Amino acid sequence: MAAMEEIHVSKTYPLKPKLKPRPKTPSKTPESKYWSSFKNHEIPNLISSVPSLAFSPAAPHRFAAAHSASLSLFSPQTLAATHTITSFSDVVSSTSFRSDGSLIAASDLSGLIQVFDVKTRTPLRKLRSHTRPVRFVKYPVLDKLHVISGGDDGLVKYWDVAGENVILNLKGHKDYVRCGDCSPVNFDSFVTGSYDHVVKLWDVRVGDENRAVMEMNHGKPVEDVLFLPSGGLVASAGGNSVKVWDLIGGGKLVYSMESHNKTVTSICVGRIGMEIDDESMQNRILSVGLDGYMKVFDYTNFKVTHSMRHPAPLLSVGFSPSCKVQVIGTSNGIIYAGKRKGKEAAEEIALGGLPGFQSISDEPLKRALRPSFYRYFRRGQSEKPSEGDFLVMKPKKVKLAEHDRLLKKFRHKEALVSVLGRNNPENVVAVMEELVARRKLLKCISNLESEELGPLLRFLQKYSTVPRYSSLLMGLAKKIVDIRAEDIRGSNELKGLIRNLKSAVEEEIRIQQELQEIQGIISPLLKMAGRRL
Amino acid sequence: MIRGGRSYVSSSPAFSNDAKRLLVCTGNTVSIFSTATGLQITSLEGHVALVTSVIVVPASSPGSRILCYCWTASLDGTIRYWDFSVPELMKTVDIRMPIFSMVIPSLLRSPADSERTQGLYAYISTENIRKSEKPKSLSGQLRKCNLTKSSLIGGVILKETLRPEFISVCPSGRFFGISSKRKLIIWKVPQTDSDQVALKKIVLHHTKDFTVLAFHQSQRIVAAGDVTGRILIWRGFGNKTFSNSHGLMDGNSQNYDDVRPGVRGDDDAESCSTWHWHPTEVNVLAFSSDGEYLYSGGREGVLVVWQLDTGKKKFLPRIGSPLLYFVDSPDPTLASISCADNQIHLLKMPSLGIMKSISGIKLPFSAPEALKGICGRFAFDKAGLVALRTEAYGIQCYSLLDDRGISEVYVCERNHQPADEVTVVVTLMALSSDGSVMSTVDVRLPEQDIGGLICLKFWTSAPENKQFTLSTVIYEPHRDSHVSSIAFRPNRLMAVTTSKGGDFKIWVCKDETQQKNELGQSSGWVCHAVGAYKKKPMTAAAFSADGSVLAVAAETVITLWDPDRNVLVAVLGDTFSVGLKFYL
Repeated sequence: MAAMEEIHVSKTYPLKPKLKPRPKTPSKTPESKYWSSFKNHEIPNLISSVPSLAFSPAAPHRFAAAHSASLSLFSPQTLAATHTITSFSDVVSSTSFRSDGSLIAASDLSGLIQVFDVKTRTPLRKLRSHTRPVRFVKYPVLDKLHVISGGDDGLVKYWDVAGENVILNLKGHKDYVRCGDCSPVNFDSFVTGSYDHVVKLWDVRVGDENRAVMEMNHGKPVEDVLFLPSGGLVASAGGNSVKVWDLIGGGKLVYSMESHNKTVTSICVGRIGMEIDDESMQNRILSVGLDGYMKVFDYTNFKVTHSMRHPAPLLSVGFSPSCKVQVIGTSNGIIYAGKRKGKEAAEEIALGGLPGFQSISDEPLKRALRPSFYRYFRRGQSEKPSEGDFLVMKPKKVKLAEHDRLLKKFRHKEALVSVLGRNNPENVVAVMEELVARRKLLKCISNLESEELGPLLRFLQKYSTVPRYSSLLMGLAKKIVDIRAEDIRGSNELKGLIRNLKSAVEEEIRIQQELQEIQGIISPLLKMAGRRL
Repeated sequence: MIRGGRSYVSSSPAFSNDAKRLLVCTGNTVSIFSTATGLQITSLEGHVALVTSVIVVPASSPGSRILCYCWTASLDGTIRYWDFSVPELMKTVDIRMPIFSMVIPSLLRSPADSERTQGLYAYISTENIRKSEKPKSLSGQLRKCNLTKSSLIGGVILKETLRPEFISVCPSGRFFGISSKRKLIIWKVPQTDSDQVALKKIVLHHTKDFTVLAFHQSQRIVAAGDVTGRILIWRGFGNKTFSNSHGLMDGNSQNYDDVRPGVRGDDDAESCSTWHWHPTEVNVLAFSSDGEYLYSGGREGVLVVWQLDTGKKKFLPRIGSPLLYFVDSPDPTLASISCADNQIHLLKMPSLGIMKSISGIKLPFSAPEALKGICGRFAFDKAGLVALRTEAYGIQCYSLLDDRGISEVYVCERNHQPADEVTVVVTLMALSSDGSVMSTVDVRLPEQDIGGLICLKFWTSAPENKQFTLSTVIYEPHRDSHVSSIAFRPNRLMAVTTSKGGDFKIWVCKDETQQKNELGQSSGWVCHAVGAYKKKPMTAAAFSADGSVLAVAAETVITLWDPDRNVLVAVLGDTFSVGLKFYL
């Protein structure tokens, strides 16, 4: 229909840079959308690496991070440190909240375990028995009276916290005990992992201190071990693999996930779901490793569903029970905290809806607007159209950049100078190409003032070897040297720029030669490989 | 047989009295278009040569607005009178001389004036068909014709010119004039026109060749454009010559002492002012119906609106093609401009917005010398659609069955200046057999060997409206060598491009290769295979009708390939193959 084409007539086209090929990223699955909805926030300036992170099981799910000889408590809303406990004599290695969130246990490398009141941050108990650095301490999920701990002495201890004494001294690990976790369904059983490659399941009801209920060989030094929420499965991390074991089936290996490139340092359970008690909530294993990746592993389908890179080796990971916050500790003292938006608003609404909280401002007193108010003059301006209104649309204006406006007025040299000042190489090249199409580029070059030549030469030095631009810019550089030889000779500054340009070109030639050499080496190999196919 | 693709811009169109119809001279016929839809309603058929003028008989009273009568003049030497609502031929006046232009001033007179005239007189610009042996003979003649008696008034030749000139008439019917080289010749139409009455004329001079002239509605103002883009405006022309008293003729000498700014020599005008905005020749000049504004336009494709008193300008830029005619309609909110690319745009008046376009087939466009060898011409699909390359980096899709332009695609998003040198050219295009996919190649010519670019583009269209949208852009598909041909494989989303650089590439749409297993994946064309035959330049390519064989011409041999596996099947011996087409 002829009516369609009018859009084209008398339309201004802004200059568009050449298209770039898009990277072939697969479209986002709902799950990876969920995981990327944790908006990343950096908490910098911790003293050193963060070996342990723990979330409080009780709302509002504060989290604690161990770093150097101190333990910091963070608010999940602001992601800022609220308090720091510093009564440690050595580096804090592990920390754990009690199931009601009121007490926190922390171990340090001097072998001491301390229990603090979260509110007052006073040390309530000091558990002293380990002779070597303690590597983990854990409050059981259901039990409020005991903790378990393990350390470099190869012992796993079961403590009575109130009495500050060891109930059980579990021997059996032949190397440093690095990690442990308590069953979420059982008061009495827990697993520990050690550098002797073995994951052991203990039960305190078994009287024998030397005998574990079950042993599973991970095959690599175990860095972290975890009970999955059902209580029947255990995940262990060590080397570059995460293995899932079936306890009910007698400690059978279910799956080994090996998508990390370096050692997996920490794992935790992450959940997908909007509500805490959501039926459709699904559990995932979040694993972090020294390769800087955080991977989300779906252990029901045995698939890595999301992976995210961080620019540092990662040491610890934690996931809030409210599914709102996810924190990752690194080896260089930065915590990457991801926070998901959305539900606080809903909670506030729920609060506001409670009887008795009925706000008095239900019917705000509306003062009549008078011309003495500023708002009087702005009234109705933000009015939204209602459904039945007939809308008269303003024709959309084409946004023109300064160089577009100058090109429209045929002020070619000014357009080139203006875009060179903008520091956007794509646009600069687009303007140059448009000038070529208008047969004006060389005229522009010869009309440039010598002080305007400087930015152009600087641009050429920076970008003329970029493959996407080089076909145009190399030719242009040659022409400039031809046309403006006099001016360049006359100015020391320009001479310096030309020297820089020359060295950039020489560097590029050197790289090209090296690449050709490599190609020469590779091509016979490729040919041979092709023949075999 | 279908006949179509006529020029809509061979001469100025005319609006009907109710402004609902537009009468356009289209070859031997006059086509009548609806201004509301832009579609053709009917046509007046009868002339046997090009129709050069169409004049709608204006309504003398509001009641007669529905009357639909018009006069047409043609190169076949006849003037015809039509009722174009029926349409029906009412009367034929045979002049036996080709008519290039015709005006009927008395039609434009107010009813009070026209009562006094005895007949209806037309002034026609004809060509003297009796070729004289002298090489520089004046073949153009300006004659007078009595339409009531259907006869040419013998012996009355108002003016002889080198070529037949276009006659312009004053909207009030009092003057008409022609521009002849560097002179404007203006006649006054007598109050009571008859066969014998003598016409008075004046001549206005200029130093450049005139191209167009226009008379003011009510005042004695005439505007003329010249080849350099100047617009000259004379006020009070012919005050002395055309005044009724004859006795003042000898008083001329003393009047010349008056200050008459800008008036050349002893030309009969009060003043002459010059406006210069157009960079190239002025083709369009028209005064608005209220006489407050002057419209002008030229090769650069910008309609300029001048405020007559102040000289202030308003523009309708980027029409994209040289302007040829501007016609005001009886409806004050409607006007039309005709462009050289065979388009008539209907303008919404005070705001100068283009409401509708009547689009004829665009003229073939000649490529610059450097690209002569590699330019393709047309592409057809099975549904009667032809795609043509147009000047402004565009592709026009023209429906052969409906005889009208359906859509236009701008291959390069640039602002085209019609007067510029052509540096970006669409060289090749191809349509898939169902017309749903189009492929184009555009070339930006380098400026002294830098900045050249070849671009291969794939376009897809929605089946209902044939509006093509860009799907894939491939920069430099064959490095820096030119693409010599494109062909689509029938029934499949596969295309092949050949290059002078000695290879051909097979492109496939990603949709087909992946069977849409990944939802939401953007579709695009990717290179599927590359082939070459002894590094010979490849000049043409074609698929067999079932798509199973691909033939590529490599210099003097034809190579046959299996397009799916990209395997050379056979080589056909030495021929002088340039073009290639499968005949099955």
